[in-house]
Amino acid sequence: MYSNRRRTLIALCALLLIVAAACGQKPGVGLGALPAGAAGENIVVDPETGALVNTETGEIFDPETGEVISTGSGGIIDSSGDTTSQDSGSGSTSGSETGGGSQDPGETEAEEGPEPSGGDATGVEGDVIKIGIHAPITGAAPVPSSAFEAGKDLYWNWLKENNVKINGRDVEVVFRNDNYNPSQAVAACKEMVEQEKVFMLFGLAGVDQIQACARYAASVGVPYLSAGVTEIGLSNLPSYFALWMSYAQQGPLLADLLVTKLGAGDEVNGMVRFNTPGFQDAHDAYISGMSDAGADVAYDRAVSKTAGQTDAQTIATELNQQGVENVYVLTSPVWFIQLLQAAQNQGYHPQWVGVGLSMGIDTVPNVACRNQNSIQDARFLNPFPAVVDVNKYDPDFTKAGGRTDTSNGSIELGLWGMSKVAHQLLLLPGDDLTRERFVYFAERAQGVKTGVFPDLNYAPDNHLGGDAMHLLRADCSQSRWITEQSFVSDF
Amino acid sequence: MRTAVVTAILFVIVAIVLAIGAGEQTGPNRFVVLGVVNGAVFGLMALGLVLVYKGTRVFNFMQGEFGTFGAYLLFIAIEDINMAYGFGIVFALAGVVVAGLMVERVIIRPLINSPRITVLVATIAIALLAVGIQILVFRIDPKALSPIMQTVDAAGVPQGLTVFELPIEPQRLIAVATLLSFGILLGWFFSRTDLGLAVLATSQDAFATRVVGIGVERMSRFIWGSAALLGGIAGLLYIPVAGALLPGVMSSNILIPAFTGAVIGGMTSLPGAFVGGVTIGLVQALSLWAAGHYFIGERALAEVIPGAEQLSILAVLLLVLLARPQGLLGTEA
Repeated sequence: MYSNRRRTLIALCALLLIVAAACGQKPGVGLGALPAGAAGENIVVDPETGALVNTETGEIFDPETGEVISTGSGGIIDSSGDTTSQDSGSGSTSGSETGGGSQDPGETEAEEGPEPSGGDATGVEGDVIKIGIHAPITGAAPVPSSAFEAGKDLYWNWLKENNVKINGRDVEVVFRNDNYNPSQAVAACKEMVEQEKVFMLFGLAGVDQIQACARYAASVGVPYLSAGVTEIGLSNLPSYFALWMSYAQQGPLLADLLVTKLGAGDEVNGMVRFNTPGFQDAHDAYISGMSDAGADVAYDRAVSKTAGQTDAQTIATELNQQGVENVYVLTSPVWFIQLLQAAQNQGYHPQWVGVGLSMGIDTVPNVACRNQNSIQDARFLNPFPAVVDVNKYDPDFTKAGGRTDTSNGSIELGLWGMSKVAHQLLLLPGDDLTRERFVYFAERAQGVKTGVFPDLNYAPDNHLGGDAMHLLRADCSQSRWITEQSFVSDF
Repeated sequence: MRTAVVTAILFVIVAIVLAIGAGEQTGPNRFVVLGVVNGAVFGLMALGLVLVYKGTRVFNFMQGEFGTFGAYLLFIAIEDINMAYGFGIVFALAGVVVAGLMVERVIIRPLINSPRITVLVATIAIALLAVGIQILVFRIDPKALSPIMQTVDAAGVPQGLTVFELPIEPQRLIAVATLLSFGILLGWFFSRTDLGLAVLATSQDAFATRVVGIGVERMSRFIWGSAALLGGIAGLLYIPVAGALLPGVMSSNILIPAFTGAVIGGMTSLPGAFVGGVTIGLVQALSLWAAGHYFIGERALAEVIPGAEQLSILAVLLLVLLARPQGLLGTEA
């Protein structure tokens, strides 16, 4: 009898512990330490990094002390607690056009303004500029390592072969695997900054990893360029620059695509996303974009970042059950493939849509098309055109050895485009290349053209420079993406 | 007797859930079906785990990788060597059994008299090594593996069986049938054959077994070869309907639920592996359904409690172990 009672008691305690553990994952829990006004509905906790982010203002809080690490107004808090404002600049803004025509590096315009002189030139040694890239080569959503190996130096080697220098310098690339893990991403970035002494950092993929590394980079004054992902905790970082539209910026564009082009206004629409704070702004922007476009999102589902095939089956069953006709998917490519397979197994074929970069690599249709064409006619916004069409946009890519005949080609093309942006931005400060001058000139750069990515126009108060995307469509007759529309900023 | 009672209780729970969901468009009925068919794969994997545990008293963390390895072999056979699918399956399963026997000969047998924890750690090491080799050879590049029978016809109509408007692919039906067949076969083997009894005797006292003339090495070989075969079959049945073949996919997707199922069933019970696997499948599917179906304020449970299905499985595991530490159907041997 006693034993049974004790067992029951232990069982209850265990259940309480489980509930407590679950509560620990609720956004907003543990905000007691925050200063007055900081806690609230808009505070979300990154489950992996533990950072607290205000999704409305962009402020980042130290999870232990509750102190503001980064403000939402473009400043960072130094060790003394004072806010250092970003230089707002006062230069004039030159006009820009949406387009993607090729342009020789060096033609990018920069706004006038009080120009800093000197500064931190770490990573600029003699005739070499060292840059560091982190990406997931292993982990839940890996980038094929062979593609990365082939793509990371492709553009810089092409420049060397053609004797093109950046103010007399070549670029050397250092790479570290972040294992799709924010903590490891920070460790990788730290190592590249402190040991490898890189001048600037690049984040290729992975929202949480990019967020984590960008924050670290901002804390040590290192310029950080990344794929356009979330804006939460990034848009206010002084040394952060997005290379194309953020997910939140793409939300209304996607809504426009659905309603204007795909006739989703009167249909049942849904969204499936990974449950990470980094996707919250993308979610909110899409819902609001759909609402503005006069469409309703009837199915709105978050799934765990560690979701597997059972989750995919469950979600496919729910979508099918509720008759969802258009589904916006914001997850890892591997899980999307599982979802496609689960839907295919049920004979369920909605219109799949989404945003790039991760889904825009050819591996996705290559695998999904083999699963009985489960991805046919899916449409995704992407920063670069389908790799099969690249010669129409930038023939130098294939001349440089970029591949168009493998799934890896799209990753190589993404790296090629990123390198071209970096090239143009690195030219702007001239011979006196320091981190401070790079940031100063980059945030005034207008009309950054690569021929691959849509044009970029930065401003001191806007480091998210993109305003257009390419539209890709899955073509299972070729098992790859094809470009349906280019450099599109509305439908 | 206990098996019948536990199975009956499981049926009653399922019936209650089905009754609650009857007539509701977004009810749980489809998810019950989903849980059972998913649970079949967990159960199949759990059978392999129980087989090794019954025979050697070791938790075999390599079990998942037998499945992944088999799937890669099938991929090579049908994509690179252009073998017919049937021959590809034979090739893959033969390769997996050879791998199982090699693991037994090179790693397990030298440790046969070591503490069980040493062997357990060794199986973890082999599993990690296997994943590493898969990454080196096949790269982290998702691959598509065709199922035994296509899931939809040329017109896009699902094949197989439809229950509560949920199409169940032929591949999953084969998995359920395979699980049942192997469950019965192994149950008969361990209770009715001399070889089965010899395996059990070896696990209880290897020295005494050797004294009475039973070859312990032969038993060990048999156990690992059979476990590898079961793992390989689970891999070949699961991965083609899962969407993507990646290094370590069976360990990351199936091994933990299968382990949990085996523990819930009682690590030594073959019917327990079946019941445990199906229980885990049901808990997973129903908790996922509930996570999307119920709201706290304006937020779905899935957003408030990320990973609700993992928590549910842990909760069930804890409750079962606290109420009955030897598992639902666990026995001494």
